[in-house]
Amino acid sequence: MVDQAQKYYVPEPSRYPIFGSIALLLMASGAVMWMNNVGAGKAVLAAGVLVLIYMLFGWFGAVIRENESGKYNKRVDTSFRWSMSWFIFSEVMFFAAFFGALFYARAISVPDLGSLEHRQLLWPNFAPRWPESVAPGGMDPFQPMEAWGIPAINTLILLTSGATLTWAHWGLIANRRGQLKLGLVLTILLGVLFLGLQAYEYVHAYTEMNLKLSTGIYGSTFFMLTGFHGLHVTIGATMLIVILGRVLRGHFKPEDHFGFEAVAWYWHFVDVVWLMLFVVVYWL
Amino acid sequence: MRIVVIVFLLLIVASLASALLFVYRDRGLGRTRTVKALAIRVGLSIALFLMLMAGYYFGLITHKL
Repeated sequence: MVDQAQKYYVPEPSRYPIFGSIALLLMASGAVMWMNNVGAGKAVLAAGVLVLIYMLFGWFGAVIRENESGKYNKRVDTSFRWSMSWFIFSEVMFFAAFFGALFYARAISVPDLGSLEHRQLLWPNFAPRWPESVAPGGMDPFQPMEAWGIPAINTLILLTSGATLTWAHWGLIANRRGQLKLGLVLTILLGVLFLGLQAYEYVHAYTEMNLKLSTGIYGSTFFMLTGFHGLHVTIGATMLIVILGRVLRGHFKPEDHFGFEAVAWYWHFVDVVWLMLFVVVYWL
Repeated sequence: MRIVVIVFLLLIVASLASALLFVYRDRGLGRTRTVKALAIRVGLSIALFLMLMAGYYFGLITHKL
């Protein structure tokens, strides 16, 4: 006989996956239209973002309601932990691909272009260096990004946010709800501050340093790595806001807070990726 | 200097990875291994950052690592 507590909760068919697919289709189509100067591009992209927000609110809300009503048992809990682990694995592979592209360009392809063989056959006057400042078709002069200034300040901001989140984490375990709430609010504010400074740095790079996504392999790898990291900070901050909302409603207990811990770990992961970016992209 | 930075980065990744393992394994009251591993991660990261800043200030690190 199967005990009621051991039954695995299977939800009713949900409309949110199809809304998620529609959102992605609209966002991708809108972005492509915008890049190709099609008039409706921005509107289609904005519609996609709105559908995505609707999906996130609806789906997050459904899962939270199911959890709070006690529908999830230990086996469902295990499924959530496994799914989080695979999600993290995909994220590690995602960033490994871009770090790998940077390594390949710096350590293999750019030096190889300066080899005797390539200089004889392809490009006689090429002297390899990083950041690369010459290219076959000519290249506008640009200023590479330094580690000092905003990147160093942003590193300090993200590291501080890791400390405030850990402080909030201890607050949850010790059932000090005030500490938990304040720690989460500070972490979210620091994340938003980081994003604001990153946007300022991008504007500065484009307008005053002539450093763009199209600035050879240096510009491409710089903006792809830091840009996707910024996207992940945005995702992490969004999840922290949801967690804060749940905390304000009295969710999470010292003995049961996987949702909080998963999001906190994700924030620490994004923080470590930035530290690697700071060392590899800005300093090396 | 470069080897010190690499060692610190490896220790930071190891503490983060151990925290993920504890997120998966630990349930119930009184389990603090995850938050402890994450606290070590934060401490190591701040130490690395301060070391980089001090190294540059005192001339141990020049323009690039």
